[in-house]
Amino acid sequence: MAVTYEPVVTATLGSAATELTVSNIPQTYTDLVVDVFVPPVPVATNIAMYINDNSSGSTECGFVTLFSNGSGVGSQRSYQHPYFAMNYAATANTTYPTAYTLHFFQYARTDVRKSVIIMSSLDYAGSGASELREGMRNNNEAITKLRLNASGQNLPVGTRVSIFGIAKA
Amino acid sequence: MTSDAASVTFSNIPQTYTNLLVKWVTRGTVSQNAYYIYTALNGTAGSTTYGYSSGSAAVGDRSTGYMYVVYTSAGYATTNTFGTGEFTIHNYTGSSAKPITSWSAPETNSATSQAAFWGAGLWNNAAAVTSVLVGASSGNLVAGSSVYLYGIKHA
Repeated sequence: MAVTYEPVVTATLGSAATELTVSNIPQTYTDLVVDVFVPPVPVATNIAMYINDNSSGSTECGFVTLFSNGSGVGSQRSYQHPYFAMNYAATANTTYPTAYTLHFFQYARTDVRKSVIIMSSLDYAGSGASELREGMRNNNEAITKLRLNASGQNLPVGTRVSIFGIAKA
Repeated sequence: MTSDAASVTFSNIPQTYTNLLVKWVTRGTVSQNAYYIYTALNGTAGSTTYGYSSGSAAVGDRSTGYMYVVYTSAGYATTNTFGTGEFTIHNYTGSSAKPITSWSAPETNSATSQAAFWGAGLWNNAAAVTSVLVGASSGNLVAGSSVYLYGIKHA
């Protein structure tokens, strides 16, 4: 059977933690699709994805967000961050789970900057937002590590990062 | 689909995957340029927050009755053009509410109004998803429309 999305690795929090890291990502695919599931959080907070060992002082990531808040649409540009934001018009919620899909293109190359498209599901049964985001990391490093972070708050038990590889023919 | 129908339902969905991915190529019968496709899980509705842009205007909206997951081509669109898109039901076997991400692109390469659509949904139900309905918000889906269900299994 042909495989398009090949499961690579899944990391799930067994206890609350400030970060969920997936390391040693195989460099044998062309693109990565990353599925993130965050159960209801203890404190409403922003979710972000750090790349490799980007420190808090890094200024490598920029992104543009297109969002709907249920009554209108808008866009926002932000740059010179050490992370890709995963939400803007609504935070992760204390009652409902959130889900995110990130598609990293050409992640293993060491001669190009890294681009990503992020879809965020932040619907809260009458509030919340839907968001579509493009981003770029201004660094040629191959992506070997992803770190999901809750901006100083805890990610809850059951937070999950799953990585799929897409290989070109 | 070999004949027009209001909806398509996938039943008895195996509980062996992590996410469900629904892809479609559809066209509706309603006398409009484009309109909504909705989903119902286990026969019940949820909520969606979505936006779409027709190229001349952008709209944000919310639905707490139907779960609108896509905007697709309809009766006024150029002949033989179909909309395409997909939506993902995350953690469909889990015991919490089920988030949904969606997008669609019913382009017709003409002056006829179409729209790029993106959305987030929530099926606020702790039950595992065992059936997925994809339906036209008005009228029918035409014969020749196709809807596909995939299971996405994590490592």
